[in-house]
Amino acid sequence: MLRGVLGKTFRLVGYTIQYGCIAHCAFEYVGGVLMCSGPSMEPTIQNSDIVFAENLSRHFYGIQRGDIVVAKSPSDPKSSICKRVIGLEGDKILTSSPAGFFKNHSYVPKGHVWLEGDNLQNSADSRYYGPVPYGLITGRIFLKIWPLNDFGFLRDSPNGHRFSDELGK
Amino acid sequence: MEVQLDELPEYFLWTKYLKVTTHGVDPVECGADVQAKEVSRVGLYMYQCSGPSMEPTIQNSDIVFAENLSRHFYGIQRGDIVVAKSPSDPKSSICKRVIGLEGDKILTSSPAGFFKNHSYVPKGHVWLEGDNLQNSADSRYYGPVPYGLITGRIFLKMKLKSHNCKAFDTDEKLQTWALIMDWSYGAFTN
Repeated sequence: MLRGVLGKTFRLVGYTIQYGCIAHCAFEYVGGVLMCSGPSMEPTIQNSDIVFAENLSRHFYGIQRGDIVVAKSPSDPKSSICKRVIGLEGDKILTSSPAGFFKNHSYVPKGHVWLEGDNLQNSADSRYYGPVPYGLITGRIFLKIWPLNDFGFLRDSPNGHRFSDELGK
Repeated sequence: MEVQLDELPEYFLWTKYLKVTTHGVDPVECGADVQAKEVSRVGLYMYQCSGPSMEPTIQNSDIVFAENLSRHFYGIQRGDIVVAKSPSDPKSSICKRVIGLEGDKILTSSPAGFFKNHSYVPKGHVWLEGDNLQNSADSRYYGPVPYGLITGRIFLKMKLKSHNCKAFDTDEKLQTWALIMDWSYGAFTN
Protein backbone atom coordinates (compact mmCIF):
# COMPACT_ATOMS: atom_id res chain seq x y z
CA MET A 1 0.00 0.00 0.00
CA LEU A 2 2.71 2.41 1.03
CA ARG A 3 4.90 1.26 -1.82
CA GLY A 4 2.11 2.00 -4.28
CA VAL A 5 1.67 5.52 -2.94
CA LEU A 6 5.41 6.15 -2.98
CA GLY A 7 5.65 4.85 -6.54
CA LYS A 8 2.86 7.15 -7.68
CA THR A 9 4.47 10.10 -5.92
CA PHE A 10 7.83 9.50 -7.54
CA ARG A 11 6.21 9.14 -10.95
CA LEU A 12 4.36 12.40 -10.44
CA VAL A 13 7.55 14.17 -9.40
CA GLY A 14 9.33 12.72 -12.42
CA TYR A 15 6.65 13.95 -14.83
CA THR A 16 6.67 17.37 -13.19
CA ILE A 17 10.41 17.68 -13.60
CA GLN A 18 10.21 16.58 -17.23
CA TYR A 19 7.49 19.09 -18.08
CA GLY A 20 9.32 21.77 -16.13
CA CYS A 21 12.48 21.18 -18.16
CA ILE A 22 10.57 21.24 -21.44
CA ALA A 23 8.80 24.45 -20.45
CA HIS A 24 12.10 26.00 -19.39
CA CYS A 25 13.68 25.08 -22.73
CA ALA A 26 10.69 26.45 -24.60
CA PHE A 27 10.70 29.78 -22.78
CA GLU A 28 14.46 30.12 -22.88
CA TYR A 29 15.13 29.14 -26.46
CA VAL A 30 11.84 29.49 -28.36
CA GLY A 31 9.69 32.27 -27.00
CA GLY A 32 6.87 33.30 -24.75
CA VAL A 33 3.88 35.50 -24.25
CA LEU A 34 4.39 38.81 -22.46
CA MET A 35 2.24 41.63 -21.26
CA CYS A 36 3.68 45.10 -21.61
CA SER A 37 2.78 47.92 -19.29
CA GLY A 38 3.69 51.57 -19.52
CA PRO A 39 3.44 54.32 -22.10
CA SER A 40 6.95 54.28 -23.47
CA MET A 41 6.20 52.35 -26.67
CA GLU A 42 3.00 54.10 -27.72
CA PRO A 43 1.44 54.05 -30.27
CA THR A 44 3.05 50.80 -31.37
CA ILE A 45 2.40 48.95 -28.09
CA GLN A 46 -0.18 50.34 -25.69
CA ASN A 47 -0.45 49.76 -21.98
CA SER A 48 -1.57 46.18 -21.12
CA ASP A 49 -1.08 44.82 -24.61
CA ILE A 50 -0.16 41.17 -24.88
CA VAL A 51 2.63 40.35 -27.29
CA PHE A 52 4.51 37.29 -28.43
CA ALA A 53 8.28 37.32 -28.15
CA GLU A 54 10.74 34.90 -29.70
CA ASN A 55 14.15 34.17 -28.23
CA LEU A 56 15.90 32.64 -31.21
CA SER A 57 17.12 35.88 -32.81
CA ARG A 58 19.27 36.89 -29.92
CA HIS A 59 20.92 33.45 -29.70
CA PHE A 60 21.85 33.67 -33.37
CA TYR A 61 22.75 37.35 -33.09
CA GLY A 62 20.07 38.27 -35.60
CA ILE A 63 18.74 41.36 -33.83
CA GLN A 64 18.56 44.23 -36.33
CA ARG A 65 17.87 47.94 -36.30
CA GLY A 66 14.16 48.59 -35.97
CA ASP A 67 13.42 45.44 -33.98
CA ILE A 68 11.48 45.76 -30.76
CA VAL A 69 13.30 43.79 -28.10
CA VAL A 70 12.73 42.73 -24.53
CA ALA A 71 15.79 43.16 -22.32
CA LYS A 72 16.67 43.04 -18.65
CA SER A 73 16.76 46.55 -17.27
CA PRO A 74 20.31 47.85 -16.70
CA SER A 75 19.22 49.71 -13.59
CA ASP A 76 17.02 46.98 -12.08
CA PRO A 77 17.86 43.37 -12.92
CA LYS A 78 14.53 42.14 -11.56
CA SER A 79 12.48 43.92 -14.24
CA SER A 80 12.48 43.92 -18.01
CA ILE A 81 12.22 46.71 -20.51
CA CYS A 82 10.70 46.70 -23.97
CA LYS A 83 12.24 49.13 -26.45
CA ARG A 84 13.15 49.49 -30.10
CA VAL A 85 16.71 48.97 -31.31
CA ILE A 86 17.86 52.22 -32.87
CA GLY A 87 21.55 51.45 -33.27
CA LEU A 88 23.88 48.46 -33.22
CA GLU A 89 27.54 48.47 -32.22
CA GLY A 90 29.56 50.98 -34.20
CA ASP A 91 26.58 53.08 -35.24
CA LYS A 92 26.59 56.83 -34.92
CA ILE A 93 23.76 57.96 -32.65
CA LEU A 94 22.30 61.44 -32.28
CA THR A 95 22.14 61.97 -28.54
CA SER A 96 20.91 65.54 -28.43
CA SER A 97 17.49 66.76 -29.49
CA PRO A 98 16.96 66.56 -33.27
CA ALA A 99 15.51 70.06 -33.25
CA GLY A 100 18.40 71.52 -31.31
CA PHE A 101 21.02 73.76 -32.78
CA PHE A 102 24.09 71.89 -31.57
CA LYS A 103 23.91 68.21 -32.42
CA ASN A 104 25.85 65.75 -30.27
CA HIS A 105 26.75 62.41 -31.77
CA SER A 106 28.26 59.37 -30.15
CA TYR A 107 29.17 55.91 -31.32
CA VAL A 108 27.62 52.78 -29.86
CA PRO A 109 30.43 50.76 -28.23
CA LYS A 110 31.25 47.19 -29.19
CA GLY A 111 28.87 44.61 -27.77
CA HIS A 112 26.16 47.20 -27.01
CA VAL A 113 22.93 48.41 -28.60
CA TRP A 114 21.10 51.71 -28.43
CA LEU A 115 17.46 51.38 -27.37
CA GLU A 116 14.75 54.01 -27.59
CA GLY A 117 11.04 53.84 -26.90
CA ASP A 118 8.62 54.96 -29.60
CA ASN A 119 7.03 57.50 -27.28
CA LEU A 120 10.09 59.70 -27.06
CA GLN A 121 8.57 62.22 -24.67
CA ASN A 122 7.78 59.58 -22.07
CA SER A 123 10.44 56.91 -22.25
CA ALA A 124 13.47 56.21 -20.09
CA ASP A 125 15.81 54.51 -22.51
CA SER A 126 19.39 54.71 -23.76
CA ARG A 127 19.15 58.50 -23.88
CA TYR A 128 18.94 58.22 -20.08
CA TYR A 129 21.05 55.20 -19.08
CA GLY A 130 23.36 54.89 -22.05
CA PRO A 131 23.97 52.02 -24.46
CA VAL A 132 22.77 48.63 -23.25
CA PRO A 133 25.00 45.52 -23.46
CA TYR A 134 23.75 43.05 -26.04
CA GLY A 135 23.86 40.28 -23.43
CA LEU A 136 20.91 41.81 -21.59
CA ILE A 137 18.54 41.25 -24.51
CA THR A 138 16.23 38.32 -23.80
CA GLY A 139 13.90 38.27 -26.80
CA ARG A 140 12.46 39.99 -29.84
CA ILE A 141 8.80 40.99 -30.06
CA PHE A 142 7.29 40.33 -33.43
CA LEU A 143 3.55 39.80 -32.93
CA LYS A 144 0.86 41.53 -30.95
CA ILE A 145 -1.97 39.21 -29.94
CA TRP A 146 -4.19 41.42 -27.74
CA PRO A 147 -6.27 43.58 -28.20
CA LEU A 148 -7.75 41.72 -31.09
CA ASN A 149 -8.58 44.83 -33.08
CA ASP A 150 -4.85 45.50 -33.25
CA PHE A 151 -3.73 41.95 -33.85
CA GLY A 152 -0.76 41.46 -36.12
CA PHE A 153 2.83 42.31 -36.75
CA LEU A 154 4.22 45.46 -35.25
CA ARG A 155 4.56 48.70 -37.14
CA ASP A 156 7.76 50.46 -37.96
CA SER A 157 9.07 53.27 -35.83
CA PRO A 158 6.85 56.36 -35.92
CA ASN A 159 9.81 58.62 -35.29
CA GLY A 160 11.16 58.69 -38.79
CA HIS A 161 14.20 56.56 -38.09
CA ARG A 162 15.63 55.33 -41.35
CA PHE A 163 17.18 51.91 -40.85
CA SER A 164 19.59 50.71 -43.44
CA ASP A 165 23.07 49.33 -43.44
CA GLU A 166 24.61 52.47 -44.82
CA LEU A 167 23.01 54.98 -42.51
CA GLY A 168 22.88 54.39 -38.82
CA LYS A 169 20.95 57.02 -36.98
CA MET B 1 37.44 48.44 1.15
CA GLU B 2 38.34 45.06 2.61
CA VAL B 3 36.77 42.11 0.86
CA GLN B 4 36.89 38.61 2.26
CA LEU B 5 38.23 36.57 -0.63
CA ASP B 6 37.25 32.94 -0.41
CA GLU B 7 39.41 30.19 -1.77
CA LEU B 8 37.70 27.64 -3.96
CA PRO B 9 37.73 24.06 -2.73
CA GLU B 10 39.98 22.09 -4.98
CA TYR B 11 39.97 18.46 -5.97
CA PHE B 12 42.38 16.48 -8.02
CA LEU B 13 40.95 14.16 -10.59
CA TRP B 14 42.79 11.10 -11.71
CA THR B 15 41.73 10.26 -15.21
CA LYS B 16 42.31 7.46 -17.62
CA TYR B 17 42.74 8.15 -21.28
CA LEU B 18 40.15 6.18 -23.13
CA LYS B 19 39.56 8.35 -26.14
CA VAL B 20 41.44 11.34 -27.42
CA THR B 21 39.67 14.25 -29.06
CA THR B 22 41.06 17.53 -30.26
CA HIS B 23 40.01 20.51 -28.28
CA GLY B 24 41.61 23.82 -29.01
CA VAL B 25 41.63 26.44 -26.33
CA ASP B 26 42.96 29.87 -27.19
CA PRO B 27 44.44 31.58 -24.19
CA VAL B 28 43.65 35.27 -24.08
CA GLU B 29 46.13 37.82 -22.82
CA CYS B 30 43.74 39.78 -20.70
CA GLY B 31 40.53 38.29 -19.45
CA ALA B 32 39.31 34.73 -19.29
CA ASP B 33 37.32 33.16 -22.08
CA VAL B 34 34.95 30.51 -20.95
CA GLN B 35 33.43 27.71 -22.95
CA ALA B 36 30.26 26.41 -21.45
CA LYS B 37 29.29 22.79 -21.43
CA GLU B 38 26.05 22.07 -19.73
CA VAL B 39 26.12 19.24 -17.25
CA SER B 40 22.44 19.18 -16.46
CA ARG B 41 19.40 21.37 -16.43
CA VAL B 42 19.27 21.68 -12.68
CA GLY B 43 21.32 24.83 -12.80
CA LEU B 44 24.80 23.37 -12.78
CA TYR B 45 27.19 24.39 -15.51
CA MET B 46 30.69 23.23 -16.21
CA TYR B 47 33.18 25.58 -17.78
CA GLN B 48 36.77 25.50 -18.78
CA CYS B 49 38.46 28.78 -18.03
CA SER B 50 41.34 30.01 -20.12
CA GLY B 51 43.46 33.07 -19.55
CA PRO B 52 45.59 34.44 -16.75
CA SER B 53 43.23 36.97 -15.24
CA MET B 54 42.11 34.93 -12.24
CA GLU B 55 45.46 33.52 -11.18
CA PRO B 56 46.32 32.12 -8.70
CA THR B 57 42.74 31.23 -7.81
CA ILE B 58 41.85 29.79 -11.20
CA GLN B 59 44.67 28.72 -13.48
CA ASN B 60 44.55 28.44 -17.22
CA SER B 61 42.54 25.39 -18.41
CA ASP B 62 41.02 24.70 -15.02
CA ILE B 63 37.56 23.25 -15.03
CA VAL B 64 35.05 25.00 -12.81
CA PHE B 65 31.48 24.32 -11.85
CA ALA B 66 28.97 27.13 -11.62
CA GLU B 67 25.44 27.24 -10.32
CA ASN B 68 22.87 29.74 -11.49
CA LEU B 69 20.45 29.64 -8.60
CA SER B 70 22.25 32.43 -6.74
CA ARG B 71 21.75 34.91 -9.49
CA HIS B 72 18.06 34.04 -9.86
CA PHE B 73 17.52 34.67 -6.17
CA TYR B 74 19.81 37.70 -6.18
CA GLY B 75 22.17 36.04 -3.72
CA ILE B 76 25.43 37.07 -5.36
CA GLN B 77 27.69 38.60 -2.70
CA ARG B 78 30.99 40.44 -2.55
CA GLY B 79 33.87 38.02 -2.94
CA ASP B 80 31.95 35.57 -5.14
CA ILE B 81 33.51 34.48 -8.38
CA VAL B 82 30.94 34.77 -11.13
CA VAL B 83 30.63 33.93 -14.79
CA ALA B 84 29.07 36.71 -16.85
CA LYS B 85 28.54 37.56 -20.49
CA SER B 86 31.20 39.96 -21.64
CA PRO B 87 29.93 43.54 -22.01
CA SER B 88 32.15 44.10 -25.01
CA ASP B 89 31.52 40.80 -26.79
CA PRO B 90 28.19 39.05 -26.21
CA LYS B 91 29.45 35.81 -27.73
CA SER B 92 32.02 35.20 -25.00
CA SER B 93 31.92 34.96 -21.25
CA ILE B 94 34.16 36.35 -18.55
CA CYS B 95 34.99 34.94 -15.18
CA LYS B 96 35.78 37.50 -12.48
CA ARG B 97 35.32 38.20 -8.80
CA VAL B 98 32.62 40.53 -7.48
CA ILE B 99 34.34 43.36 -5.65
CA GLY B 100 31.38 45.70 -5.19
CA LEU B 101 27.61 45.59 -5.36
CA GLU B 102 25.31 48.46 -6.25
CA GLY B 103 25.85 51.49 -4.07
CA ASP B 104 29.36 50.48 -2.95
CA LYS B 105 32.24 52.93 -3.06
CA ILE B 106 34.99 51.61 -5.31
CA LEU B 107 38.60 52.74 -5.53
CA THR B 108 39.21 53.18 -9.23
CA SER B 109 42.73 54.55 -9.18
CA SER B 110 45.84 52.64 -8.18
CA PRO B 111 45.97 51.88 -4.42
CA ALA B 112 49.57 53.06 -4.33
CA GLY B 113 48.84 56.33 -6.09
CA PHE B 114 48.84 59.69 -4.43
CA PHE B 115 45.44 60.89 -5.63
CA LYS B 116 42.74 58.35 -4.98
CA ASN B 117 39.67 58.36 -7.20
CA HIS B 118 36.49 56.81 -5.89
CA SER B 119 33.24 56.12 -7.63
CA TYR B 120 29.97 54.53 -6.66
CA VAL B 121 28.63 51.43 -8.34
CA PRO B 122 25.31 52.39 -10.00
CA LYS B 123 22.03 50.68 -9.25
CA GLY B 124 21.61 47.31 -10.92
CA HIS B 125 25.36 46.93 -11.59
CA VAL B 126 28.31 45.14 -10.03
CA TRP B 127 32.03 45.84 -10.05
CA LEU B 128 34.13 42.90 -11.23
CA GLU B 129 37.87 42.49 -10.93
CA GLY B 130 40.15 39.59 -11.74
CA ASP B 131 42.45 38.25 -9.05
CA ASN B 132 45.50 38.79 -11.25
CA LEU B 133 45.26 42.57 -11.23
CA GLN B 134 48.25 43.17 -13.49
CA ASN B 135 46.78 41.06 -16.28
CA SER B 136 43.04 41.39 -16.22
CA ALA B 137 40.61 43.41 -18.30
CA ASP B 138 37.74 43.97 -15.91
CA SER B 139 35.56 46.74 -14.53
CA ARG B 140 38.60 48.97 -14.20
CA TYR B 141 38.66 48.90 -17.98
CA TYR B 142 35.01 48.65 -19.14
CA GLY B 143 33.19 50.02 -16.11
CA PRO B 144 30.54 48.50 -13.88
CA VAL B 145 28.76 45.49 -15.35
CA PRO B 146 24.94 45.20 -15.28
CA TYR B 147 23.77 42.49 -12.89
CA GLY B 148 21.66 40.96 -15.67
CA LEU B 149 24.77 39.80 -17.51
CA ILE B 150 25.78 37.44 -14.70
CA THR B 151 25.04 33.83 -15.68
CA GLY B 152 26.37 31.84 -12.75
CA ARG B 153 28.43 31.65 -9.58
CA ILE B 154 31.50 29.42 -9.44
CA PHE B 155 31.71 27.25 -6.37
CA LEU B 156 34.06 24.41 -7.28
CA LYS B 157 37.28 24.04 -9.20
CA MET B 158 38.87 20.91 -10.49
CA LYS B 159 42.35 20.19 -11.69
CA LEU B 160 43.00 17.37 -14.10
CA LYS B 161 45.87 15.03 -13.50
CA SER B 162 46.40 12.16 -15.86
CA HIS B 163 47.96 8.77 -15.38
CA ASN B 164 49.20 7.84 -18.77
CA CYS B 165 50.60 11.03 -20.13
CA LYS B 166 53.86 9.61 -21.34
CA ALA B 167 52.84 10.43 -24.90
CA PHE B 168 52.66 14.11 -24.08
CA ASP B 169 55.60 16.28 -23.16
CA THR B 170 55.57 19.01 -20.65
CA ASP B 171 54.35 21.25 -23.44
CA GLU B 172 52.20 23.87 -21.81
CA LYS B 173 50.14 24.53 -24.90
CA LEU B 174 48.37 21.21 -24.78
CA GLN B 175 46.22 20.99 -27.87
CA THR B 176 44.63 17.61 -27.24
CA TRP B 177 43.23 16.23 -24.08
CA ALA B 178 41.22 13.19 -23.19
CA LEU B 179 37.51 12.82 -23.17
CA ILE B 180 36.96 11.74 -19.63
CA MET B 181 34.97 8.56 -19.50
CA ASP B 182 35.99 7.20 -16.17
CA TRP B 183 36.10 9.64 -13.30
CA SER B 184 37.48 8.84 -9.97
CA TYR B 185 38.29 11.64 -7.67
CA GLY B 186 39.32 12.45 -4.20
CA ALA B 187 40.69 15.27 -2.16
CA PHE B 188 44.44 15.43 -2.15
CA THR B 189 46.55 17.62 0.02
CA ASN B 190 49.96 18.71 -1.20
